[in-house]
Amino acid sequence: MNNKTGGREEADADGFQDADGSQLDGVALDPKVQAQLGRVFRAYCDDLIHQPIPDKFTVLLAKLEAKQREKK
Amino acid sequence: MSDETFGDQMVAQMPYLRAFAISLCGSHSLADDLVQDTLVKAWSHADSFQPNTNLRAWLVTILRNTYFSSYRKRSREVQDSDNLLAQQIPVKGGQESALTLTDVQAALDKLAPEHKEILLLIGITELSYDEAAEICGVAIGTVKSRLNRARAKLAEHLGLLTPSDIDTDPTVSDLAARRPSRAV
Repeated sequence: MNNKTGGREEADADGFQDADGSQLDGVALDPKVQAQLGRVFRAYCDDLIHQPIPDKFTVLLAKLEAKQREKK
Repeated sequence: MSDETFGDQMVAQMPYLRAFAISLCGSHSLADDLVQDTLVKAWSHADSFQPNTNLRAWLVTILRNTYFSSYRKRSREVQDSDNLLAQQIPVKGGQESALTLTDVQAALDKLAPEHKEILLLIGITELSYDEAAEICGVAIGTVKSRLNRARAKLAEHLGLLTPSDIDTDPTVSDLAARRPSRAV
């Protein structure tokens, strides 16, 4: 159980899917808590990522790009 | 896609950049200022971007450094003053959960900055542990241990466990009995 070095190296980009490193630092979450936390946090991240991007940013990027082209 | 401009590629990264900024700042208006500063800086340093490397990681680095150098203090002042997550909808975390996205933000804001940051780098910007380690200037082992501490703390702040769960080996299967009852 005290597997400090056996952690996988790849990232868990989906949130908290990995159970590997949970023994590090003596911090261990119950798998059920970890799964629940993962779902809650994933929902939060997805909500933020899917918020509409204000037009002002695409306008700004277009302006910056146009300015760059003028310089060349 | 070879005719895709640098600007086009940046547009594609906007959802991640803005989500990261909103979560860091706890405020839409401040986050938008931060994103704008980041885009302007990115353009003025565009030649320092190595083609064929991860554009998102590069942009996130600029945003993160800009936040810590000039936004963090302000973000503590404006937090709560604008409505961060417009909809108070419950997160789809399972029927047992009555947590809202605002609850998650509040719990994140209680974390130590390095703990909040690592959760957002992995969860929102979806960077690898290696990229996160480079951005934070720490070893990958530090990323992992911060992530574990951050998860445990976040679970605690969300009321998903009792503090004793953090220090003890949670082999108790009857977790529901130990979970503090939530008022909402």
